[in-house]
Parts: sequence; C-alpha cells; structure tokens
Amino acid sequence: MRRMKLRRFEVRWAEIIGRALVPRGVLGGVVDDVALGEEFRRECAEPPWYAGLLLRFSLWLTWLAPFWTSFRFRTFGGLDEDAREKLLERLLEAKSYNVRMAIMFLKITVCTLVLGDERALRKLNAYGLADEAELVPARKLGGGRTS
Amino acid sequence: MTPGFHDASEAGLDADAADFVIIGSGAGGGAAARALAKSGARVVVLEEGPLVPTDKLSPLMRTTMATLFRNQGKQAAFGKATTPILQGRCVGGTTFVNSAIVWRLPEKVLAKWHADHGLADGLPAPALDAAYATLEEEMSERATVEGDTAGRQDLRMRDGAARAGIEGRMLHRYERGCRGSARCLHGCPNEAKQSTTINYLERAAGDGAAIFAHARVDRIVVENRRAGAVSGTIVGRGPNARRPFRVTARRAVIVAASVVQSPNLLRRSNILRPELGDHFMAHPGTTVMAIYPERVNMWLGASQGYEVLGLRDTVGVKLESINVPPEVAAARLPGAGRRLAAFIDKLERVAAWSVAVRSEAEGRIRPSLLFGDRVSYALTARDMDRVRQGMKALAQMHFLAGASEIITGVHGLPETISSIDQLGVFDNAPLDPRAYSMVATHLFGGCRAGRDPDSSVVDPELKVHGLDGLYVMDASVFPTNTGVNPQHSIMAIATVAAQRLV
Repeated sequence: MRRMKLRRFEVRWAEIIGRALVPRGVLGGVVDDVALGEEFRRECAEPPWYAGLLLRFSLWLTWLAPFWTSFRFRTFGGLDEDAREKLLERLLEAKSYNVRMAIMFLKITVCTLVLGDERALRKLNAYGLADEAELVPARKLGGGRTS
Repeated sequence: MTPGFHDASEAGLDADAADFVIIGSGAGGGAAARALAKSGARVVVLEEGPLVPTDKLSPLMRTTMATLFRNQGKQAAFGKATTPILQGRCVGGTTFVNSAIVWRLPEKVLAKWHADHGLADGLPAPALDAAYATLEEEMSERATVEGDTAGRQDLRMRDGAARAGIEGRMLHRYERGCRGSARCLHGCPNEAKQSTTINYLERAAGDGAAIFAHARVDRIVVENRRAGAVSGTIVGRGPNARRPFRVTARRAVIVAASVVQSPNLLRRSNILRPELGDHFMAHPGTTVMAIYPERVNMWLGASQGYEVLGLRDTVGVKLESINVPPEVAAARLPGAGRRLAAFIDKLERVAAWSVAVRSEAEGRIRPSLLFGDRVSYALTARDMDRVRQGMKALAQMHFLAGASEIITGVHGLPETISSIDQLGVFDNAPLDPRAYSMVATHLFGGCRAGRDPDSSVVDPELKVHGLDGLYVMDASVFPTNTGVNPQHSIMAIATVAAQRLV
C-alpha cells in the first residue's frame, strides 16, 4: 500500500488547525517550536493506511467546516481565533458520531504530536524524567532479568 | 543480543526444523516455550514483531506505538461504535507493554468452563494451581507497596474506595526491582517488569530454544491431517526482509499468535473449523479522570497500582488506577484551544482511574483484504449500563478521595461535575456506546476450547479438533471472558497444555 503523502497546502492546514486545537504557550511554552504541520505530514505517512486516510479526511472536514456547519463562504483559515476555537468545540460535540470521531482522532493526534515531546514530559516530571529522586531507589535485589 | 534471541531481518532464519514450532512470543507462547524447552525439546519461537533492546525504549507514546504495538496502536473493533484494540507486536507480545497484573482465573469461571465446555480433563484445577504457583515464584509476583512502588493516584484510589466502603487492594504484578518509573506501557526501561521477553523466553533460550524476531508466519502447512511445518516471510528492514522461510515441526505446531491473529492464521491456512473466529469477547473499558487540588503526577509509581474488586460480582466491573500517558490524557480533556490549554496546564493534578467491564457482547474475527484483520464487536445496552455504573463509582471515589472536579468524558453529559451531589448524571448517561471513548484491552475467544467439535475449535487439551500436531495456546481458546486480568491465566493454561506434550 502506498504511503499517504500530504500536499503542501494540507501541511499548512494541519499547522493552523493543530495550533487552534492546542495553542502555543501550553505548559509554559516548552513545546512551542514543534513543527506541527511537518509532524502531521509524517504521521499521515505512517501505516496503517486507513489511519492516514482518516487523518486527511478530518483535516478537510475541519478546513471546510464553516461551509457545511453554517453555510458561510469561508474556510477554517478565514476565521479569527475565537471563531476557530468555537468551531472546533462544536465539531467535538457534533451530533454525528462519525464527525465527532474524526475530530477526536485529529485532537488525539495533535496532542500526541505536541505533547509527545521529552520537553513536555520533563516539564510535568512524567516518569521521573526531570527529577529521578521521585522514583523509588533501586532495590538492592536489583536487576530484573533471570540470568 | 541475548543468546538464543535472533533478529531474522538482520541475521536470517537458519532454523529449518524443531520439535516444537511456537508462533507468537507473548503470554501463551512464552509459557509454552519455557515448559517445552525445560523438558529438553528443541523449540523455535517465531515472532512477527521486533526485538527492542531496553536502551532503545522511548517514553513517548508515538514512538512506542510505532515500535511495539500492532498497527501502531490504531487497530480497532467495528460495531455501532469504533473501539480501539491494543495489542503488543514485539518479542514478548502484549506482556512487554502491559502492566503485568496477576490474577488467577476465578473459581466460578473455571467451574463454568468445566461444566459448560467440558474442560475438566484438559484444565484440571490442581494442575492449574501448580502452574500458578510456579509462575508466581518464577515471574516474581508482588503487590505494590505504599512508600515504595505505589503512586499518589493509587493511594488516592485506595482512600476513595475505603471511604465509599468498596473492597479493593494493591495490585499484584510480575515485577522484580520496580522503581516506579510508570513506563510499563512503554516497555520497562529498568527491566523490572517481568515480561516474557526478559523472563520466560530468556529461561527458554537458556534451555536451548531459539527465538526469532521479525519472522511472520503466513501459513501452517497441513499434510495428511497433520500440521507438520509453518511457512512465512521475514519482515522488518534488514537485509533479509521479505525472504520466505519454512520451519518443520517434528512434534507439533503451537499457535499463540493472539486472539485476533490466531483464528485468522488458521483460516488463512485453510484450517476451517465450525465457529472459528466466533465468540470474540473482551473487557472493554474507559477512564474517569479527575482534577485534584494538589499535584498528583500520575506518571510516578507503578503504571497501575490499585484495584477495586467490590463491584466485580455485583455489577460485573473491575476498577483500576492507570497512568494514562500525558499526551493521551490531554486529548481526553474537554474543549479545544485556550480552554483545552487551561486544562492541560492542570495535568499534573489529574488522576485517571479505569473501569473494565466483563461484557456479555460477542463479536467475530475475520481476515480482511483492506484491514488485514477485521473484528466486529458491538456492546449491548446491559454492557453499557455496567460501564456507566462503574463510571459513577469511580467518580464517587474520586470525590471521596478529595477531587475537586470530575471530567465525565461522555457525550451528552456535562463535561465536568464539581460536587458529589451531581453523581446522578451518570444514571442518565446514554446507553449508546458511541457516546463513550472505550478501549478493549483484554481479548478472548475466536478459537474457543470445548469437548464438542461442532461448537469449538480446540479440544480440552487445546489440540485443534480433527488434526494432529496442531495446538492453540493463547487467550483465543478461552470459552468466556474472565472478569480479571488474563495474563496469569493464559500463562498457566499454556504451561499445563505444554507440559502434557512433554
């Protein structure tokens, strides 16, 4: 199966929609420099093929949402920040399960791409990455392997 | 590389024959390999996924999913709702990426298997008890401990359950030297969690077994009603990728490829039995997250450290603490944009507890040209009622443990509730599974065991009905779901069945 390859304009859409979902400044701005559009492009190219297809569909669905939700002759990119957020909230609460699921998949992907970064984990001290002292001191009986 | 372990993609697959060929290296395959190799038999284990060295493990879910999970963690069951199915696909199978929770098969469940499916001779209680005892010693079963491996969210769950008057206990896990780094789901970076990779497979390798990663079995070769070999393809990215292989099994082929893959492998091999791929069952579950006034940091301590058992027999649910990784937890928080960002900034104060349902729904597993494997599964209204009762209990316990806000996570309910007086919202939660974010982790059935060849795939000794030299030893043989975490039972059942072949 051929890998899904996003077009340049789709990468730009992913950056805009992604940053509307998870704006810069989150967690003190430690992951503000994540190139979200590029990461999204990579994610779409990964198997399985149907996940990439669903992601691409969710991008188009969101970008064109002003047309089909309120019959406004605009795209997502033509909305201001408040309107983008309101639209995303509306899609996440859509009556249609398929719409909700597609946008939820988009949200999970964006959160994974933005927060799935060691700097974010360190900021949260997740897994003791920032402060090992919070972990249990290694036991004397130590090593887990059998041999 | 550990002696006995080989990456077929890099080094090729030089084993052309063995006494026993085992397909899959998870709980069932690992236990069977251990028992058979210990007896002196020549054993080859073939695993489709990679062997990932400890120093290559990542704390990032994206990397982990891509490396260690089937379909990069994007596998799902399709029904009224789409339910993600998480399965490990690496050496060690799901044991490499689960919390290694230890539960013996409940007596009531075993009694039902004996009475309704005729498994008393094949899986007698004394033999299983002996296998459990050995496993608990060799795999190092231990409870999480306050002041040691239990995390803050585990202790909060303990307090909440105690105040609600619901029985619970610290979780028992296979671990040796746990540091509470909370990365069981990523593969343990300290080699403390006892997956089959670092324990039973390593013991088997010490007894002469050969374990091959990146070796995907495509077909079981049956001649004259006897399974005599397997054929497959080397996968991965090494110089030997895409090369075919064939390994002859002098005594038996043991299929332990998992609930989804085992029935489909039999079907692709033209081994067609009545009800093959049917009676798929699971423990679907969801989480209830809560925000506390103080820092919880659910990513310190055991990945899962406490369980609530008091509703297991009455409602049919088991509740557990679980450290949902930050990037996944963030997606479950309400809203988008600045409102979501404000919730994300509170992540350190979030605790996540899960409800797993012993569901009555049955589904089916079939090969699919488009998806590889297709699982059809639709939860019933009664299952969904159990889900919402479990969620209500979790929310109550969260409040009693001091939470200030509960994130309901159900479409149609208020996003959050901030008082224990609002728990009634769960009574009116929809019974439509599409309103929930569910995940299926414990899977059962598809090659179910039974005495009657017309209604089961394998006999009580786990041999495929009507064929010689072919056994199935994983949770696909379970005739029902169990209501408890299945790894320990899978390993015990595989041990008992494999010891019979010695």
